[in-house]
Amino acid sequence: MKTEGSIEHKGLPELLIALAREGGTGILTIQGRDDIIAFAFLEGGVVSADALNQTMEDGLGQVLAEEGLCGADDFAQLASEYQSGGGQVVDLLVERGFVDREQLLAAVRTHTYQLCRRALGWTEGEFKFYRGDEVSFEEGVDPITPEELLIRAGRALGRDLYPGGAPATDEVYARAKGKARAAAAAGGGLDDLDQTAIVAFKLIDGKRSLGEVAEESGVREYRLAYLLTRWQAAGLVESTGRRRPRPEPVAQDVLQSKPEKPAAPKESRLRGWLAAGKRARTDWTLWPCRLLAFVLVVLVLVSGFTSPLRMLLPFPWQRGLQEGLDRERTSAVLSLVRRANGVHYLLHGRYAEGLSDLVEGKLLSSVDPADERGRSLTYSMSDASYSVTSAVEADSERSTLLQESVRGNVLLDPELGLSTESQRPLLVLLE
Amino acid sequence: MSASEGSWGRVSWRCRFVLSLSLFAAAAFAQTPAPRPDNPTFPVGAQARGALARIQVDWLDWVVACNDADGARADAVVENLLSRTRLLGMERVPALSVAAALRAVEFAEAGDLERARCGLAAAERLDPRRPEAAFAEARVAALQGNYLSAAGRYVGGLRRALEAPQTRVILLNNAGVWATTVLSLSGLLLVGVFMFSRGTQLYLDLFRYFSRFVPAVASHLLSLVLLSWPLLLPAGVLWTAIYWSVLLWPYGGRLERALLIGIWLFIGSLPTLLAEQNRRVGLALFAPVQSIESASRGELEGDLFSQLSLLASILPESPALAHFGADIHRKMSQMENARALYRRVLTVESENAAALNGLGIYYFHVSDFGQAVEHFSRALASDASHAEIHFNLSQTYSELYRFGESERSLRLARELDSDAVSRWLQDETRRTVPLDGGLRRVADIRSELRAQWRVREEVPGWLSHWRRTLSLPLVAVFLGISIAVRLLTRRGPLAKPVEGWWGSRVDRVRRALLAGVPEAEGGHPGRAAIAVLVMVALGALPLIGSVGYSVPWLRGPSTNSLVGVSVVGLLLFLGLRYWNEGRDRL
Repeated sequence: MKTEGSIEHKGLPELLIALAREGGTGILTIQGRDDIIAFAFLEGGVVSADALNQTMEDGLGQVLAEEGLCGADDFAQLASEYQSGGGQVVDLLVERGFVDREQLLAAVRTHTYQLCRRALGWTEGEFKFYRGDEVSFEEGVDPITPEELLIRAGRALGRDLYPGGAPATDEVYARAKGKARAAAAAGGGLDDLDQTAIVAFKLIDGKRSLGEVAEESGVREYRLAYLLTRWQAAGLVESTGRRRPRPEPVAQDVLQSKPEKPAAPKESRLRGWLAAGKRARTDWTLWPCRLLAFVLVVLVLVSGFTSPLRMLLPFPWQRGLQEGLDRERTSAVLSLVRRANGVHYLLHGRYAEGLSDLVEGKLLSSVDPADERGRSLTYSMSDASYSVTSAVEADSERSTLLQESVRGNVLLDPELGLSTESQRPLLVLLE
Repeated sequence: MSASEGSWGRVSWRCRFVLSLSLFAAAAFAQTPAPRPDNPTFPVGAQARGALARIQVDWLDWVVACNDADGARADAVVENLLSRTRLLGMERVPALSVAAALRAVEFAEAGDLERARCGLAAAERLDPRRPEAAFAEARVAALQGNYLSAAGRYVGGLRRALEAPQTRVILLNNAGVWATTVLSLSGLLLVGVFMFSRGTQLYLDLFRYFSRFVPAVASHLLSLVLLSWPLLLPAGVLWTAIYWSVLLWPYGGRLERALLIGIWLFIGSLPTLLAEQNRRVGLALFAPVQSIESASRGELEGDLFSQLSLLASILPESPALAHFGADIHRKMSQMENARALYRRVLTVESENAAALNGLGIYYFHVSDFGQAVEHFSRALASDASHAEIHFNLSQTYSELYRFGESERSLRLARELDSDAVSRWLQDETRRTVPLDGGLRRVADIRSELRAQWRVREEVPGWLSHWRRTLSLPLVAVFLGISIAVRLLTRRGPLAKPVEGWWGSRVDRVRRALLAGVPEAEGGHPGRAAIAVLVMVALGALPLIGSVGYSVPWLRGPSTNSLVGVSVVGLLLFLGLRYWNEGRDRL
């Protein structure tokens, strides 16, 4: 493998593909006319990038500002704190709650991609790859594979960077059939594929375009394009020559593409704990707000389940409405008392001696003999009438709520049929 | 009978029977009784009082017969009682039906099923539509161990309760108050849920802003104070929810904003809704209204006449009430009283066909057939679509030996309703047919009462008008502030959605329990609203009995059973969410 060369001879894409296939680790430097950019490769994927004329902090700040995650002023202040020894900028970003860990990693990846794209856009310069065992990068970042880099950057730059040409998004492929396919499969091409890639392979049916297969299978489009070139070379698939346009353009930004797998950095247990600690700090920043929301929920539930209408009618001028509601509820209770006592009279020949009589006779439930404000009703009975009173607020006086007599009630009044007073003694004598 | 001497339990049943008969005798032979001073407007005449007194005696007789387990005699007494009720123009006696049903339950609880059956039979005959009769049957069936039948009768009782206007009004209003409460609570809780999810962005923006000037801990404190100060206001919970909804406006999507506007509108219109609902319930609970509604359905209530008098003092000029009273008097054969009231109606509504028909019936009754023809003819001139009036005119012509005109009127009546005319001709008990137009004017009386109450509620002054309708304009104010907040925050970068605060092993349980939060965080505010609504509705089921009005049924179903339904419903709902969480992860 050629580990150094010039951009003019187009050796850079071949180097990137070779690094991806062999899983190389090290630093690739590209010296252009105005700048030098260095890429950190970890097992074939780009995990970080740095430029001579732009610090990582500046680049990251630019990305965060573009994403609307952190304003330029805020980032400048963090950067000044960083320069005065206040800690790492990335740590400060998370600690101050500007971004959470996931957003930070995505921004770092975007920044790396943008530098890669810049370098691939150069038309002249030299590159050199330095092999190594370890490279420095932000833990947890999703590595950018060279296939992704070449296909995406090629599309963004309007050039075909991928060796042999990358399949177009709207191009329709079909699987090889019969003996050719069996022979091709025996020759390899499907080995070492994960489940999503196999699903993608099965979806290639001569009808779906590359973009549709990628979308339905969940395989990233650049990777599928790369896999298609492999499968095509192995005779497993073939282009139908047809194109199937998609309504939506391919997303240009790395952040918008869903990663197939979460980042799987090879980190020690200690490093994992530290990363978890950072995430925990991020969550903690949000917890006061959630606690406050929880307090409101509890207060709403308590107020709502004890006295909902008082909570919903809070203004002083709504007191009349509240009292009206209370009054009608008391009326409903009194109406029930009236009916219950009427039935008591019909069954026992007299009104109940107390509300407790009605409750014991199960004519009223135990909660009924109270007005709506929970004030107990006082009941008094005389010969053929009864009254129900309630204590007036902040006063020992009582207001009469209900007064009822058998007189006037044609079903209860025993004197209804008597025409003269002289007929009463007859009844007394009989009794 | 005084209360001290009136306890039926202290006298033997034979003695009571004698007493019943003596009361009956006293009533039956009463001569020209003096009008009752407590019913000046709707006096009960001698004949009606006699019939009513006999109904009282019949009831006492039934109590004795049922207690003696003499089913045949009890049935006969009930038949007598109902025939006397029909003489008064009524068909059912709800109070006696309820009393019989409750007596049946008492017997059943004492283990005496034979007497219980006697009570149930009477209850059903005295008022076949009474919910209490069905509930009593359910209770007796349950005491017999027949739970399936009990459940069926219980459901039947609920159906009857929904058919009975008085209980239906209260039940529907209770459902309305409950739904209002559930929607309001859900709305406020949804704001809490949005704060739990979207609010984290708001909080981070505040925190970042303050962290420019003060250390992190102070930034947290300042952010918390800025968010929570409305809690210190009177009705702080409501104000805090509204305040947060305004602050969250810039952070929400379209659906979230639509939901927030919905919450403001609902809470804003709540006073108007509740006032209208309360007015409706107040009318339904007003005893005179209950009485006239019962009477219009042919139910004899004990206080009908005193309530009519009370109503007459409230609406002294009401032609609808006069028409109603006239029909009641006519049904009770108190024709002179009916005539006076029909005349009063016609002074205001001279073309009222039903009143003219009623007056025609009066003149027919007193054999003044000339006047009867005149009034029936006037009624037809006003509205010729009633077969009843044609029939009455035909009968009157017949009395005047004007058979040709009689035949023509009868033919016209048959053209309008042939079956009814055949039925009327076969009925030998009556010669004329009323229209009962007054009994159908309960809605008019209710409207007049409502109008009068509205006038009373009116408080002069622009301030009171403004305050009454203040809540809804406040919604526009909230919207304006929200848009202003949105425009202000546009200048600076807003925090991006913060997703995923679940990081522990109990994720699934928490996501299941905190209904609405995972949905809101996942960008599905509609689903969040539904989850919160279902959770609150299930949790608030037992409140149906306490937030509304007491339902006017005796020994009806209690809302205690709803606690069980609520618990089971909540468990099912949360279980389903838990299961779904697991399924989503697979």
